[in-house]
This record gives sequence, structure tokens and C-alpha cells, in this order.
Amino acid sequence: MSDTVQQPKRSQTVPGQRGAAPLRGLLPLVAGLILWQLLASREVPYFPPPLDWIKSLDALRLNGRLWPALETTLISFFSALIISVVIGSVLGILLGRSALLDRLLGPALEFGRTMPAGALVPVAVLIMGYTDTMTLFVVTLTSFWPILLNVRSAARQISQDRLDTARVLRLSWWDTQRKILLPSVLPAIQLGTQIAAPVVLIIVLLVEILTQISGIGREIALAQSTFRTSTVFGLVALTGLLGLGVNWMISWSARLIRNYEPAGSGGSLS
Amino acid sequence: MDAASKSGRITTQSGPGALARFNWPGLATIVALIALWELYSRTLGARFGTIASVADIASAFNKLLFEGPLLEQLIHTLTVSIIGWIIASVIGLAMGAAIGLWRPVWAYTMASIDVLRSIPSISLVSIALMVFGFSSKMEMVIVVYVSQWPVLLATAGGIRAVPGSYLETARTVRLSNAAMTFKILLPGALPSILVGLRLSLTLAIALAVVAEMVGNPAGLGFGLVFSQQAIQPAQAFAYLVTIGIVGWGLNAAFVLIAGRLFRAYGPAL
Repeated sequence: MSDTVQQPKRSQTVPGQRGAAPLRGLLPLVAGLILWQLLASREVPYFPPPLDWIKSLDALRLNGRLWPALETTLISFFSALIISVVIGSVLGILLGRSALLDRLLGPALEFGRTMPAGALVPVAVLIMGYTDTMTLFVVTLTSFWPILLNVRSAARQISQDRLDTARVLRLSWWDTQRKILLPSVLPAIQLGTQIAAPVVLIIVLLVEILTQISGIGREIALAQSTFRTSTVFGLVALTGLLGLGVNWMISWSARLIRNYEPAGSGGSLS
Repeated sequence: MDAASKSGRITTQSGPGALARFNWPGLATIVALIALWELYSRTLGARFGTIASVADIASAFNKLLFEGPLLEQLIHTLTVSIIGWIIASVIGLAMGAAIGLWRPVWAYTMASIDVLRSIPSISLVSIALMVFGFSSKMEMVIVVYVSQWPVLLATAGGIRAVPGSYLETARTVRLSNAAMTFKILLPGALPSILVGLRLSLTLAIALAVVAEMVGNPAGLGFGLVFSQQAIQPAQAFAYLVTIGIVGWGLNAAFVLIAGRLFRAYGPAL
């Protein structure tokens, strides 16, 4: 029925519009999970039914291993994300505002940017050992690129009017950065973070899987090597929920920034 | 910036300008960074025992290439990444086109796709490992599954973002549905699709390497982890540099080829 209602609107709504996907799009996933639950056979251990996933997660929780692992992973994730945002934004502004620096560092950064994510992990382990610093270092080094690139191109395109305004108002160097540059590149920082955040989560998990020290990644690797399939599926579903949470958090921050930008830049100028 | 790159393209063809326009300062920075690394590895870094000097890395690379398994591993990783990327692109294009062209398909699948693709790819490697074992099949499945999403999203999004005025023009000249798809919608979505293809190529290499590191005992990723576990820093760095060059090279090759094939859409890349 809803389709027939939408038919006449189609020509107006389809082109150029990218609204959020409607929730009824979850139907195939839900139907798939229900079918899985009903059809999964106990003899084939590879694909345990979804309710078993929850049971094994609960068992892990009762063992007292779920929450500490989740905590470690989340702490690594947020610390690395914050460091990435800071480094990416600062470097992006520097490179975007200085043609000389951009030319000097451009090729080196081009190489670093295309380095396949994850390849740095074994080398970092070799040099720095199994430490928290290593995790932060390797995760940041792999994931700040999208922020850097977005901020760099936004910083290049800051309108001359805004910079002239700063000059006319005789803002100090610091105030120019804070009140003119930063608000101008804020949407780019947000966009870059949106691309970087899933990479941060992936590399944190990869480090945990490879080093097997702590975190959700370690639990996944342990469960996989001892062939506890339903635990693995449960933990993977949990990381999926983490990924969804991350996406949701980032789109929420986008709304916050959209609200802030016009009012904020106007306010600081007046 | 756009004007600069356009004028750059013209001077490239005229020849002598290219030499002057080449980013020598950028190259100098890379050389300086390598020299700094060499200095560090021979002085302060030497006491760690894990900082390999450039000369050591180069000789490890030579040894791996001519006496060791490097060439074979390189070919393995390249084959899996490229074939996986092609399969993923075909799947992504087909599904993306279906989602972009028919609104009900979009409405009834997109939210599921958003949920599925927010599962971090690395945790799926563990599932693939249990199902397919330590094999190249596992690696291929992971590469295809993960790198289909960017193409799918870019195709669907690109088609849905084709300006309404194009569609109205097409309707005015009474294009058939097929003509509309192949003459308006797909060309209109091409810049977006190219970006998606490039992203998924990057992902394909990254996931091939990761799958080799965690599961499949073959390819550059395996060589890298093996060197790490054997505490062979020079070897590990040689693998890291090789992987970096593969990533950079495939990316550059894609930009070059796509730029040639779709010259009119150049600015999108």
C-alpha cells in the first residue's frame, strides 16, 4: 500500500534527495535472522542460531569477562579517535594554509595515506612491544588520514572575506585560528571523523586480535581458536552494535555542528 | 586548485614543462626522511635492536625477492586483491543499480545494509576462519564481502543523486527506460561510482593483507607477521614497504586508467 502512495511522489522525491533510509528496510535482516533461528541445525556447528549467540554472550558476562573487555576496547577506541581528530585537524589546517608545507610533505603523505590499514600493526608490535601506547600509536597513524585530507581541502577553500574580516577586526593570530579558521573547517573535521571512526574501531579490534592481550578482539580470537562458534557470532554481533553506535554518535555530532556553525561564527564576529 | 591541475595536464603533454613542474621539494622530503631514519637507526635507535637501518632493509628485501618467497607472496596478494575487487565491483554495481533505480528496493533493503556494513570487517575474518579454515577461499570471501559495500553505496547514491532536470529532459525526449538507465542515470552516477571503485580497491588490498595476517598462511600479510614473530625487523620493514608500494601502486594505476577511460569525468578523481 505504501508503494502506491509513493508512486506519484516519486518524480519529485527521487532526484537529488538522500534522506535517511526508512526503518522498514530492516525487514529483510529481521526475517533473515528469524529464518536462521528456525532453520539452523544443531548438527552443523558453523552457523549457530541467533538465540545461542545471546546465551554465550551471557555466559561470558557471568564469567566476568565481557564488561572488562568492552571497557578496554571502548577506551582504546575513544582515546585513539580523539588523538586522530586533533592530529588530523592540526596537520590539515597547517597543510591547507601553507602551500610550501603542502608541497614538501605532499608526496610522503600520499604514500602514507595509501598504506593498507593494518599492515603497520606487526611492525609496531616489533618496535614498541605489546603496550597501550603501541595500540594508540598504530591506530592513530592508520586512521587520521581522512580527517587530514578533508580539513586540508576545507582550509584551502576558506573564503578571503572571512580572513579579511579577521584582519579588519585586528584579531590576534590565536583568535583568528579560534574564531575564523576552526569554525570554517569544523564541518570538514566532522566529515573526516565520520570516515575515520569505523577505521579506528577496526584497527583497535585488529590489534586486539593479533596481540591477544585484552579487549573484545582478544575474546573473539580466543573463542575462534577454541572453536566456540556461538560466542564468536555473539561477539561479532556485539562489534556490529558498537559500529552502529559509532555511526549514530557521529551523525548526532553532525547535527550539533550544523546547529552551531552559523550561530557560532556570527556570534564570535559580533 | 582545479585550474592548476588542468593547466598541469596540458604541460604534461608538452614534455619539458613536466620536469620543472615535478614536485622536487616533495621528493627531497622523502629522501630526507629516509636519511633521518638511517641516522636514527645507526645511533639512538640501535640500542633497541628492532630499528632496522635502510641498508639492512634493502638487503633483506633483495634476499627475500631473489632467494625468498617475496615474489610469490606478492603475486598471491595482488591476485586475490584484484580478482576479489573485480567480483566485489560487479556485485556492488548490480545491487547498487537495483537499489538506486527502484525506490521500493531501496526502502526495503537500505536499513539492513546499513546495519550489516557497520559490522567491523576484521571481526568477520574470525567467522570466515571458522567456516572456511586457513585458506585462500577464506581470504577471497572476506575481500569480496567487505569491498562490495563502497561500490554498492556509491552506485545507489550516485543514481539517486542524478539531478531532476536530467530526468525531465529524458522524459521530454521520450527516452525508453533502458535508454534512460544507460544514457542518463548510469553516466550521471559515474563520478560517484568511480570514487566507490577506488575506495573498494583500497579496502580489497587492506583486507587481503589483514586476512593473510590473521588466517591464510600465504601472501605479503603472512610474510609480515611471520617476520614479526621470528623477530626479523629488517624483513618486517621490507614487507611493510612492499605492502605500502602495492597499495600506492594499485591506487595510482586505478587513477591513471580511470582518468584515461573517463577523461570527461576527471575532476571527480
